[in-house]
Amino acid sequence: MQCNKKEEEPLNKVNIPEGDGFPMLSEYNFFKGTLHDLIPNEEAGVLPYDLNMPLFSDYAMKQRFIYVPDGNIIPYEEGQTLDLPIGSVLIKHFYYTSTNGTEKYIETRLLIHKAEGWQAETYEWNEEQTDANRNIIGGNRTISAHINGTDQSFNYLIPNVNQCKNCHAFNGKQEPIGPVIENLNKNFSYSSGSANQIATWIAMGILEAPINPSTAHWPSMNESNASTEDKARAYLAVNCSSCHRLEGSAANSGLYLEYANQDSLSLGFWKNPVAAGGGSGGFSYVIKPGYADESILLYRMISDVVNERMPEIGRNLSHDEGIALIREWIDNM
Amino acid sequence: MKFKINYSFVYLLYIVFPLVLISSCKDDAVDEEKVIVIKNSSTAADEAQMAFIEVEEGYTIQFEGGTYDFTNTLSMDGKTNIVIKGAGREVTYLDFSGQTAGGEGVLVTNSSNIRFENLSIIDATGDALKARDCDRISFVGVGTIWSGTPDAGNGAYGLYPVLCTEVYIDNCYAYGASDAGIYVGQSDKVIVKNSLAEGNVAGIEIENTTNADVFDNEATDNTGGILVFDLPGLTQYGSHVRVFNNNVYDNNRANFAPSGNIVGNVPAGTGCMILSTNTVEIFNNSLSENDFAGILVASYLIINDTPNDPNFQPLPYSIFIHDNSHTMTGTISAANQPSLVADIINLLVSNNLDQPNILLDGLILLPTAVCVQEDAGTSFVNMNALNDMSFQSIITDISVHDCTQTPLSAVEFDPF
Repeated sequence: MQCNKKEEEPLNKVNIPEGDGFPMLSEYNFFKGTLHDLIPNEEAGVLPYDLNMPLFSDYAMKQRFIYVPDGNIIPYEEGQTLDLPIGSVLIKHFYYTSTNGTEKYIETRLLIHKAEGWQAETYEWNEEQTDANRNIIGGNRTISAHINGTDQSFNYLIPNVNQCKNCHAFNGKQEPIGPVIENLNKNFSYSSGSANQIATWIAMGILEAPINPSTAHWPSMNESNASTEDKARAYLAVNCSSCHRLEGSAANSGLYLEYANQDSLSLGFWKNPVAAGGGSGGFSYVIKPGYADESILLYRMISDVVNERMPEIGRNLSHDEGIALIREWIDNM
Repeated sequence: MKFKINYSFVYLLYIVFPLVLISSCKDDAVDEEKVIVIKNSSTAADEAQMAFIEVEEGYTIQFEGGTYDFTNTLSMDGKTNIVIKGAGREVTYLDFSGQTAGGEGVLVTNSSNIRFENLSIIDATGDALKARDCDRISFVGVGTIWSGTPDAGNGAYGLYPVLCTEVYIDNCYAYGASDAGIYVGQSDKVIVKNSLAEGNVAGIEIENTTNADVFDNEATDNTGGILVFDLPGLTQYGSHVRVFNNNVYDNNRANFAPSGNIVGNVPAGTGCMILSTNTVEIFNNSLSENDFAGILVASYLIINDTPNDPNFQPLPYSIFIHDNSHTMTGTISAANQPSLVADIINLLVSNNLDQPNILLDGLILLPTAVCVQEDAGTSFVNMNALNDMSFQSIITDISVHDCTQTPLSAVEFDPF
């Protein structure tokens, strides 16, 4: 009888904690087999995904997964963060290539959509790299990693829950940032082969099928046929606008960098700084068209001084490729 | 009873004991028996951060005396009815000189009914104590200090409530900020009183804020003593600000703001300064030995002639200056001043004019935009920039400003 078999083998499903996060990452059952292999538990609804334009985080490599509870569907909405159903989880895994060539897992962050709102949890991988422990207060870690062809040692911040929300804020509430249709609209190498992520999600029944689907997508950094302007705006949208928008943590700055913003003052053109302090770098305008190296925006991307650098949290190294992109964009205005 | 708290524990141990000696100044919201004590130990920073995250409504987080070292921002979000207190402004120091992460020393966001009291924050890498999107937030007996000789490497703001309502600042102290020592921005219903700001670029600054009362404060040895500013392109504009009964003296410190910042344009030697705002009343202040001007009224256009904000009104109006006392015996040098300020100083000299008690840049639509009722003999200069941006038609006749405005009503709210 089937019911007998059911009792012997517990249902393979993702576990969501009632209150605080589980002590260990393994308890969620997001992955099958050896946890370190990070093989998504697809049978239970965990799906890997990727973004065209990722957030720069000190050159950390990332793997992303989404879990949408069975029977739920994400409404299709372009131009904004998707409204994921209650019970959904976003999983982001941060790792580096160690100086000895092996992969070093640092942390795995979760955003869990509870009925009362999004809950951020951070898991820090143990020394043995077998599992990750819940970490509330975060902290600084010294990382030695092989980045862009050189060995680098630097200070890496694991954010505390408040620092998670500092970026993941929308009108004071915690919200995801990454899952935007335009940023998800790309091919992904699934175990079954390469396929468009949007089409796959729709086919799987976790994303509503749109009546008039857009083909719009944000470019990737190395997309050869995308304009510098388009890449720069997507870069700023992903790396800055979660705070730099009216609903974000940097609303008081008056600098709003969403992809769709077309207002030149709030985009920073000829805009004097408001509360930049040393972050002004001695310059008077956030963006001085034609003069990237006299623009505060670029200065703060380059600076490694704690109270000058942007983003404020999660960046100790500067992003050479991002700096080159923004420099090219401003210089050619 | 003593607990040794292992900070790696997921759950913080609350140490709860009855407070017998502390007299309650607020009995409506905070249950004085709920106290989390942060002992001064090598793990205190993590314990404090854990307490800031896990504290429940109605609790007090109590720091003992001594110096607590932090390497990351100490932050609180989404809390209600919390008191954070030390053993005294000159007894409990939260020291951020070793900070390696975070844009401010202490940060509280999206919270209501919060009070900081009796502690000091020193050497924050960025801003010292920022409160954003908070309702009913009080700072009582709080110090923000950058040690040593003030310089451009110091953080921008000391006390820094922004996008808040019912902000109460009493008996606080601010030293060394490279922008403003006590700064309130984009907020509504604000009281700043009994506080001392010295050694900052701006002592006290009210910016894009409505309904603020600034009184019984001392501002000295800053570049500018008390500033009321409106800037373009922000979430709101300011108005209805009263600055009264303050002692504003010897604010002659060379401007040390990192260049590019608006405050970097404030002339050394400024007592009170009004920039591009409206409905401001400055009265009963003692303004002495601020060698550039006791009171300066100016427009943002003098700094940036293209604000690019169609809703921004850059010309100040409904400004009422009355019953202040003025003393100016010193002289100011054009050296080390922003270039525009140096030009003004040199022009006054060449016109055989002393630095005035009241100085207008002249970017006002009508003389009655600024009403002045001061003692006879109060010296006055209008640079008349509206007619001549090169200041070649200076006016010294104060009589056209002989008008009054309706006195503003007091800001009233029940502070937390």
